[in-house]
Amino acid sequence: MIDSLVFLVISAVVIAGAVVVVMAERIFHAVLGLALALLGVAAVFVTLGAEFLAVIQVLVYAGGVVVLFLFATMLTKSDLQLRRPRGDELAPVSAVVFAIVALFYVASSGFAELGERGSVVGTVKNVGELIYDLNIYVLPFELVGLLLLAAMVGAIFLARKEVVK
Amino acid sequence: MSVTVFHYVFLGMLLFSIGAYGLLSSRNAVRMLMSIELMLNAANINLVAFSSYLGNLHGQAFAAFTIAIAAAEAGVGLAILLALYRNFRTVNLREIKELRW
Repeated sequence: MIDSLVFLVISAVVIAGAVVVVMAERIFHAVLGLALALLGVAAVFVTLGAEFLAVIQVLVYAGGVVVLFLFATMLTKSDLQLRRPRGDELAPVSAVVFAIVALFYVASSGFAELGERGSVVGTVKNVGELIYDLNIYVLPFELVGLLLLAAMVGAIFLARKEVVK
Repeated sequence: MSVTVFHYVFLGMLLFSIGAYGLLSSRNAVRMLMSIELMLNAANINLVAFSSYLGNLHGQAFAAFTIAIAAAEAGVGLAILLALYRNFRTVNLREIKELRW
């Protein structure tokens, strides 16, 4: 019972943050809504026993990505383009159609047969052992590191000021 | 009534729909990138939920990779945004019509 209540409250926080992201007039408020939604997702991870991912979510998303978005918001005059252009009336329709189709698919699948949540807990030790002890995830892990390096170099190259000679 | 995997999948679906709506309806590049982050988080919720209910950690390992790639995507996307803003003085994608400058 208390589980359901906790889940409902967390879900409400996540959805409220997401709605603020989409609907807020000012981009700055949208970024704050994004922070709320991402922290809510971290709480969802905690309820699922994914402790390591919850910590990573707070560190990377709430700490890193949100700050990045704040920088982008403040470095660009992104609030000056508030008006909605024409021709976007179909956007809510497509989102609702997607939701209905996905709901139909989920309802007709056998997800409910999975039953109760398993007792597995994603601590740092457990996830680290899965990534390093089984050989399947070692190469992807190193490749992600390489990808992050490439992304960092690319971002610096793209964002730096052109030097006029 | 206990919380089943269906509830988590439903939450992920709702979050993905909101993100898709934001991506389609907005022409502000910053808001579009934020909507993409919402959709990636919806996928992560599904991964972790199934990982937890199936009783193994593979979904959580996948979600960790997803988070890393999402961070890289946000960094490069916002760098492209800053370069665009420097050239066009706007982040409204409706007004950015040329690739060559």
